[in-house]
Amino acid sequence: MKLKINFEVIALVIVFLSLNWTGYANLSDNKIVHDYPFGFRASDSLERAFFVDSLIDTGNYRYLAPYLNQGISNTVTWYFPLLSHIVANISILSGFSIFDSLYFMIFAMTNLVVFVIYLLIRKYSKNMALLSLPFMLYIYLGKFMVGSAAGIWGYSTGVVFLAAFFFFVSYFDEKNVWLLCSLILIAMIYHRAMDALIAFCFFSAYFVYEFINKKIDKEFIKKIVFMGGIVILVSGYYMLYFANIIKAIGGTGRPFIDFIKIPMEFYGTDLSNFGNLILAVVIIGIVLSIFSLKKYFFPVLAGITIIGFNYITYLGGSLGISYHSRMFLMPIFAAFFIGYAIYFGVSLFKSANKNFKLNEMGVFVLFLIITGIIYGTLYQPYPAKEGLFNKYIWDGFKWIQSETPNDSNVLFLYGDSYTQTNMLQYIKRRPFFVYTDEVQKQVSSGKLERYQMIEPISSIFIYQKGPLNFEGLLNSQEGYDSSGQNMEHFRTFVLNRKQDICSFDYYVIDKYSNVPVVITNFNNVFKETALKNKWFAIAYDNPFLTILKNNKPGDDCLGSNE
Amino acid sequence: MAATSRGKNDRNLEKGEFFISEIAYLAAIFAAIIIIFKVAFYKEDILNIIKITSSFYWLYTLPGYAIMLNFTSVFDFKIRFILGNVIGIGTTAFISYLLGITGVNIIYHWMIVPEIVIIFSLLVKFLPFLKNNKR
Repeated sequence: MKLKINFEVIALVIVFLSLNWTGYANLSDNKIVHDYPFGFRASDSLERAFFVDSLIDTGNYRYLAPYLNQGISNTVTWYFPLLSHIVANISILSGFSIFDSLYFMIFAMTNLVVFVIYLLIRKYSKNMALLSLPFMLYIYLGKFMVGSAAGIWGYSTGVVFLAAFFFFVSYFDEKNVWLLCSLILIAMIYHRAMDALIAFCFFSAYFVYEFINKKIDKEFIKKIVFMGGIVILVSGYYMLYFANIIKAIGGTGRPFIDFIKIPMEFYGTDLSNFGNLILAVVIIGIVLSIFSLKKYFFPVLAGITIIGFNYITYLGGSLGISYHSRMFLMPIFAAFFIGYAIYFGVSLFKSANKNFKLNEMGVFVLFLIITGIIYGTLYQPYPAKEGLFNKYIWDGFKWIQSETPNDSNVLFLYGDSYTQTNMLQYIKRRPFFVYTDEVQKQVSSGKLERYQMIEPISSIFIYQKGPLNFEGLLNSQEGYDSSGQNMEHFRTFVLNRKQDICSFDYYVIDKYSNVPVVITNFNNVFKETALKNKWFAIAYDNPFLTILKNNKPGDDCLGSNE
Repeated sequence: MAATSRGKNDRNLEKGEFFISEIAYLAAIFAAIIIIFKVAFYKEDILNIIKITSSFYWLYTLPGYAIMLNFTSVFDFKIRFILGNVIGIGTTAFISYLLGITGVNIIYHWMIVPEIVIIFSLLVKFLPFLKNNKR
């Protein structure tokens, strides 16, 4: 029996391993399960996680868990539901924490985009698809890695549905494939409805192309009508529901388009992140492929659509904000152009040298060389893996979750990570945070002030008053008592930012910081002063932080300091 | 390439050979994923890797694969497997959302939703075959 080596399968295995090694494994210390939320570096990623936490704690996605909104219940969950359900189900079944499950799913979905687009290119040329593959690995290399590391996840995971939609549309004339397009569109709307606009533009371009080629017939129109009908039937209400939620909170606070560029430098990604050489190849690839549009219509259209939408960000406004973060996954879509340019170059060489043959093995060797060069020059372990949490912070949070009453008001004094305030929600009580500006003022003056600016940490308060009628509470700045619940707390603590520092039940006080003077001149001064009062006691202590219990909230706790 | 496997798939389907080879592929990919994960996440316990991979398979891969079984005449296995994962993720999750809104607690969805999707997809696929055999 003659053993035939399947080079394509070997290449796909190499790519799958590389994607895991440079992406998720690189950021998660080569582990899947961690003792505490590991690798969460920014509020965005933690916000995704607390929607999952709330979903599991409340059992469904209708209302946020009260602990996310200062103990107020019946506030509507205001973010798209799909990602939370994807993660919650796998977390419940595997028994892993929501943090580990979220991380796993984000990267699993992002990695899938690579294989879907590979298959789209492969439909036209297997060799070109193999030559494009190494460049897709750029998503976890260099500056492109920032999005995955910083947690711009709601955006990046949506791309998997877009990629699948592009793929299925390329088979739209096949029997019943319109049904798969419908399923993907529904998922897209529940995941992040703004992506449906990209899908719509893509499909419109396809429609125009087919129209020009005189391929639009009754059957084609029937498929579109059925596809649209199913999508509207299953997700139409949700689209209106979500649009009204956004209206209730006043939208993004920006006009639709204002030509003020979204600060993309902050995320640091653009096509130019490929470096000048690859960027030049991308541009050559785009130009060349336009001449072969008829032959490679779908990969070209997919690449141009995604790259084009990334640059919509230059229009600014709420439109620009909605589409700026897909830049991180752009290498997957730009890879076709690079692969095409290389393939074109090889074809030219082939026609000049009649004896030159490029078989499957030759393409595979080329794939290996390119992958090796990309890794050799760009791969490096990601620094600062731990993220916002460390084991001691998480132990302190778990202690608060298990040992304090549900309605406890917990004040966080200065901590390096705590400025990413979403993390404070994980105490599952009512978190507050002293404004950093206030802290700096007091560090300079050396004197603690009893009344100071303190931020209540919460999600967004939105109440549902009718099937499609919502009221955003902080938008109106008025106390809206939907159910007569605990509004005294709301008026005292949420609307009034100038707070009595002595009025909290618990205080979380860090012992270490990158700015040691804040610890000595603020955190330690407060701790020592408060402990001079008999009604203050150390409730929990570990090498990183102390938690104080105040048994008489509201009594002057700084008397000896003043 | 997809076109050449179409007629073959349908003929093999009736013989049952189709399923044997497909199950073998699914099992081989499952094993390969575990090995690749063990290399990438070398500090992780193998049991945890098996746990997360099987959870993913049950929740997303198998429902997506079952849906894509209805498209054997259009797509080959590679396409059905990879795109099936995307379809599975999307379908399971939005059904889970709708089920939650109707009052079924999310903690039970992992049992209910994949089953519904798999059974429904298999029924759509095989009802015509069963009807033909009866006749």
